[in-house]
Amino acid sequence: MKQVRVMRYAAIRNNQLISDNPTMVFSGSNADRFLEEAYGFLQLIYPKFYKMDSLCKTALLASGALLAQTDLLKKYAPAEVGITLSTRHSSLDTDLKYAESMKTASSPSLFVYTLPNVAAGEISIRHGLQGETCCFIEDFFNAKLHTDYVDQLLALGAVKCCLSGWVDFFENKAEAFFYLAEYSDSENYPLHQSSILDTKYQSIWKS
Amino acid sequence: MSRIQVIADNIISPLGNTTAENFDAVIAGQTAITQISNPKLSPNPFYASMFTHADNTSVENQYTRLEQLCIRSIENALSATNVSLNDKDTIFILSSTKGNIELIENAPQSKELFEKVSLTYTAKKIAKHFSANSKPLVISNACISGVMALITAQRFLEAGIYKHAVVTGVDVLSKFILSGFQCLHAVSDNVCKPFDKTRNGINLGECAATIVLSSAHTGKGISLIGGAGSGDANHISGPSRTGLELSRAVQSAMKQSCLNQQALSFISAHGTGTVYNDEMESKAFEAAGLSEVPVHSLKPHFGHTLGAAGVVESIITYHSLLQGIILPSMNCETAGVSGNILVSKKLTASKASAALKTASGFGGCNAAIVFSKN
Repeated sequence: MKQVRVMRYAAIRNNQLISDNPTMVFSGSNADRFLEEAYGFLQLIYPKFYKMDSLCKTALLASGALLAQTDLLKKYAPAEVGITLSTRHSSLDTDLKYAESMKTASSPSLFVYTLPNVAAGEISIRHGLQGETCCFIEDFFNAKLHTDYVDQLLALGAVKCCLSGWVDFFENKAEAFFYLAEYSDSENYPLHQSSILDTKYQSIWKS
Repeated sequence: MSRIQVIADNIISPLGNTTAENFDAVIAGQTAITQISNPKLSPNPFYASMFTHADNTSVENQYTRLEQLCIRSIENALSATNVSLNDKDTIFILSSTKGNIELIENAPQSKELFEKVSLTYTAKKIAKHFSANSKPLVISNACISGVMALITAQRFLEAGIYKHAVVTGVDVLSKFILSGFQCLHAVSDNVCKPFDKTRNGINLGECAATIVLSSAHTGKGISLIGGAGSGDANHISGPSRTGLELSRAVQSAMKQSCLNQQALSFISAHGTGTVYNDEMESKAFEAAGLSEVPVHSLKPHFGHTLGAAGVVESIITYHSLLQGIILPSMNCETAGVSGNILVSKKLTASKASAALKTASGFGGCNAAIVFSKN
């Protein structure tokens, strides 16, 4: 029976890139260099990366690991893949930098990153995804919110596949927990249920 | 087709403290946008819609100005209903782009400050004021936040996860936000002129607006019958060149509503008054086959109220439906967009039963919702 399942995941935690794809696992040397090291590891060749703020870099790297060696657009039309993100600190890291720039000359290149959903925008540009995007602010990864929301998106046919999960960057700490949800009848993939997602998230966060 | 019912609403803007006061002001062609000289916000005078001290809030208060506006808006909206946030079947959804961001402008950085500026902190404070029983939900999705909050509420109610939703959109003006749009050269040097050929930018506006939705269908009033979003995958701070992505969101929302264009009374566009936004929207509406449907923007009345925009403009939209009128698009003398659209020039009567509200924002996101008169 076709049910919403978690097809794959990728995470960033403690300067490590973690994934169910064994070729997409990487440990960085320290927090200051992690984002650039992971970019090198993923061999993204995407110069826009250097213009992004750290929240978007984190999101881009996690989405790069999640979608490595796969082309979603072979299976789906661009409009059929949506993005649902949640974050705790939102764009605060860049907000503080922009506020600092206001004292001399307000920086337009910082200001455009003072919105959390721009991380979803950067993912959509990188991977050519044109489905619906939504960005929630939550204190922690809220598995129930993600399963409730994404299940509805898929049930209504608003999208056929959703990149869903948590991304956060503050005080030099990068965090992400992304997964891909879609209807599947393959029991090789776990069901998209909050208890299962929570267990997965906790196991990564403890590692 | 979804049948989520609107049961109450409120708008607090410089035009008034209730929906009725705001609606009457809009019908009368009033604008809340004035020239403001305030060196704390900008070295040069600017045009915006801002509360004055007289209609504003107390500084001697445990709540920030933004939180006080939300609380007043929710209190007023709920007063006409028997919905309570204390009920576990009621969810509170807060829509805001920058919340209390002004707090970081001058205060020294501290854990406490970072906590206070977060939107979850704000939402929890407001929820606590109303003894809310459910965890509040915060949506921060640039200028489509308000429309996405309504779509999210609609879906959660349809799915039976909650029975009622209190959706509040809010943003206030700060040096942070104003200087940001100024450095992007996006602020108009006068009251904005959406869709006009001489338009040259936005005005920012302050507002808190609340819509109370219910899954209990009464067969009266207004229903939210469709909603959809889309992404441009093109540019984070500039709209699509073609408008095809917004067009797709509009078509999806229409399809979900089981409506064709004859049923549409009018379109309440995002209509920010920037050259590129209004151009993109005109192409989108044409591509969606809506060239014959009157279009207006409410930005010349309220300014761009960011996280509140989708909520306040939805309220004006469905009250226009209830009154059977189509509002003019203020300040559009000669349309200057390349898409073939019909900009509403004067207040007219209409018997059509539905209206479309759209929004687009930074990050390349679009959303559309359809309201229908029962």
